[in-house]
Amino acid sequence: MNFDESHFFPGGNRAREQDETNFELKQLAWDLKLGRKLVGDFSAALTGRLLIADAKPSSRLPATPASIAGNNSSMTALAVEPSLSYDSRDNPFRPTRGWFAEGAFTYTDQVDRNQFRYLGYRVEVQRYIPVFHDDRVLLLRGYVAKQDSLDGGSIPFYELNLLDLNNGLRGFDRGRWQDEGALLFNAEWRFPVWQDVQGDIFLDEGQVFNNYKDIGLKQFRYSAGAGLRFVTNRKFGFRIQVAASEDGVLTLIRGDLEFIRRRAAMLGF
Amino acid sequence: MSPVIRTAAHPQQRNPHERLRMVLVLWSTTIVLTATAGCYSTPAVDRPILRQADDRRPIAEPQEETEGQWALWDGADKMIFHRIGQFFNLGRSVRTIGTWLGLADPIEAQNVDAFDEVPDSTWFTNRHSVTRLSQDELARGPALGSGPDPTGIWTAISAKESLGSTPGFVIRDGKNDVYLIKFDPPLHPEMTTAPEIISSRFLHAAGYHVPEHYLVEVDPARITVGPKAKFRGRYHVPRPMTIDDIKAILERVPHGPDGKIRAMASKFLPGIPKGPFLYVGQRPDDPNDRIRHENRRELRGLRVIAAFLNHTDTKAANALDMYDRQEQYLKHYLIDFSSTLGADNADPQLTRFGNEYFLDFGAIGRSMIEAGFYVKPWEVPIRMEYPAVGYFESEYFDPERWRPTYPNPAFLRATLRDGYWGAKIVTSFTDEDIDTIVHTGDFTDPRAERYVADVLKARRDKIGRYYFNLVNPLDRFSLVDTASGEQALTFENLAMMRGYAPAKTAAYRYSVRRYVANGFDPEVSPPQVIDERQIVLSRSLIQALRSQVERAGKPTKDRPVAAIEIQTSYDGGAHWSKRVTVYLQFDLPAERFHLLGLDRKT
Repeated sequence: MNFDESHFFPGGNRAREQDETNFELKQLAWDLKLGRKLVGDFSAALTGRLLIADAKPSSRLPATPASIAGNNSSMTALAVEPSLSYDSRDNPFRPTRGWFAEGAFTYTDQVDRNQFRYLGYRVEVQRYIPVFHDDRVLLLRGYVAKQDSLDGGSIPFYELNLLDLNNGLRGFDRGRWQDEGALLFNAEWRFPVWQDVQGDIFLDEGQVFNNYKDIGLKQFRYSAGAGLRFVTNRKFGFRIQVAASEDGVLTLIRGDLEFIRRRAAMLGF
Repeated sequence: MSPVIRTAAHPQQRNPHERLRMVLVLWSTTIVLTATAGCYSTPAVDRPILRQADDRRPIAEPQEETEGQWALWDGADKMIFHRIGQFFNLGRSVRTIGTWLGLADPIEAQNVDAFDEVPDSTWFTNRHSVTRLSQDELARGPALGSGPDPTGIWTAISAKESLGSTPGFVIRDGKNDVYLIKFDPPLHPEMTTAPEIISSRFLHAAGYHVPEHYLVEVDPARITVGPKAKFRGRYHVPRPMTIDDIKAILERVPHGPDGKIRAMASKFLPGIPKGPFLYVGQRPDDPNDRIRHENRRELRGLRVIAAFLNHTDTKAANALDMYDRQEQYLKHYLIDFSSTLGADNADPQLTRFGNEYFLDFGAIGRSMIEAGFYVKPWEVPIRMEYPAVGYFESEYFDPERWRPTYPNPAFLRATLRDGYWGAKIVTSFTDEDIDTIVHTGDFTDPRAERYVADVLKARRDKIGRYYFNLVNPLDRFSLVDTASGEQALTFENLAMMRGYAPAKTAAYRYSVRRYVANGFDPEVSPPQVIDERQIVLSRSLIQALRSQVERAGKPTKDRPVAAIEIQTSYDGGAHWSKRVTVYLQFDLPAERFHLLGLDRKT
């Protein structure tokens, strides 16, 4: 298993682009998920996860300081995440109407030492609204996530909640905004272009925070863009999007169609 | 005063502004000449009066054309490479711009006669729109017999080879005739076989050469497999056909209550197949093929007839050249009408087919610009009333917008004159004609039959209104003798005659000029307005024509040509249509006019 190069921007929501530091991360995770449909569109799931991670400062400068929690150390942790979701979308792969909502609570405990122990919780709501005609869809999404350390433990920096091009703020580079909390809103307009090609125009706004009291209207970071989504009903799809933000313009080419929630947001890690 | 002599300055001595101006002038001249140069529309007086094209001369047996058989390549070529080639064809692009700006005329069809009509040929035979067919003839269509022998054994000799998705196989009947048998899809009984029958009859009546199509009942018990029959099995690998292959095909198609199966039998065409004809270029091995196919009127005008029938699959692979070994010439056929009316082979037509190409860069670009804020009419589909019909509508059908599944080079070249020619054919089908032909589809549900007929009538009417509004629809010109002994030019107004005129009455404004080699002499008679479809060629007109000839110093034995320019108004003269110019040759000694031809301004 090789180390992957990644970026960390110390400073949370106030981090500047030039604050970028580099680290290397080796990570392995196994998930076990048990789910059950409850009533109607409600379902519940229980996810267990074994995570093995090892982070170290990169040889590429500037390196992420070794003093940051989780850097230059390894972790083997177990996590458990109960979640409850509501999904009334007409087609989970190519939705045109309905709701998707999910709430989850995560407890993570390091098994080999007592350095990392924390709770995470997140709530996400998506609303798909057909406009004019079924294949023109306005998607509205709200997402909030927070982590808290427990019993004097801490949260490794690479497991903090993250907003970047892979995590809802598409105009920002990898690892751009990280902190214990994340608040995100997305509006996306999807429209047909050709047989299995959709166009989209989107506006993302989000902020990371350490405490809820840090949340403020002026703290939001914005990105906007447009792209093409190649999607068939046979569950093959990819998207090309161009997003602009205060940091510049980024092009995304992704083999999936949904918003990606990686690392912290996925399981509260 | 002594002349001022200017000596040309040496190029290096010219100032930069002068050089720039010269370059600009040179380029502008080149572009304008490119946009307007060339005689792309031969005047009527220079076109022959021709009822029969000379294209049946004996030729050596040609090679089989293979390019058009590769349907996927043909589609990709026409949707992508042909369009790119058109864009980079500088002459065509500049001429197109010239046409938009009104500086140039479009390239008109090259196989039309002096009356802008298509002579009979190995491509086309004038039928219903010229000489009305009886109801029996319309119903019989191209059929010369009664179809496969219904009593004997049918021997399957091969599977259906085409890439089309309708199931089928080829049989030889007791009379030794060979037929392609095609079936309906299981969820849509009658949806594929009925359009094959109906469209073949419409296209035959229009004048195209099509195979004999019959509706038949297949009795599985009477089918055997020939010893040499091949079947393409897994991975498309040929192997000997077995009766199980036939059973497998028949199991997938709709069965009647008595176990019999409805099918369409298409009789193999006489002669030796030489592959599809392409809708662009010429066959290099056919000396009779002297006109580029994209410039043939009957192929350009097919666009309107295809729009009427929603014949979206007008690819090269659905055309076929047959070589007659006795007569030694090629005859050109249209085949396979399983993607017409509401059917797209084994599926109902997609709502966007007929409105956009399968891969339509223009539509894609517009969709991206519109960003979903404009909903195209066909994106809100109307309810598919009858499974036997498929998806066939007239509500948002637009004759100008209609598209086949992928671009057809001849359709792309079609001009308004070509469209008018096609519209004349389509509107020659009366309500009774349409009812008669649709009835041959033998729909079980009479409501489905009525629906198809009603949609066809509505599409016909849209076509008539569109083209007869854009082109002055005066037609069927003839010369008659009046009671006073003078000659008169009579004509029909097709828009009035067929019910597509915007008003119940029309006025006609005409003037007469003398046609000379490079244009027209001044008016022989000043413009006059009439209400009747008859222009009397009075003695005063003859005298004026004669004196103009004499003033021009021409001998009296010359046969001057009079050009009568006619315009039409439906609002009492507030607006006048484009001109139709009718050319009459005047025999001075006999004092008689003869029809020479006509030109339509579009």
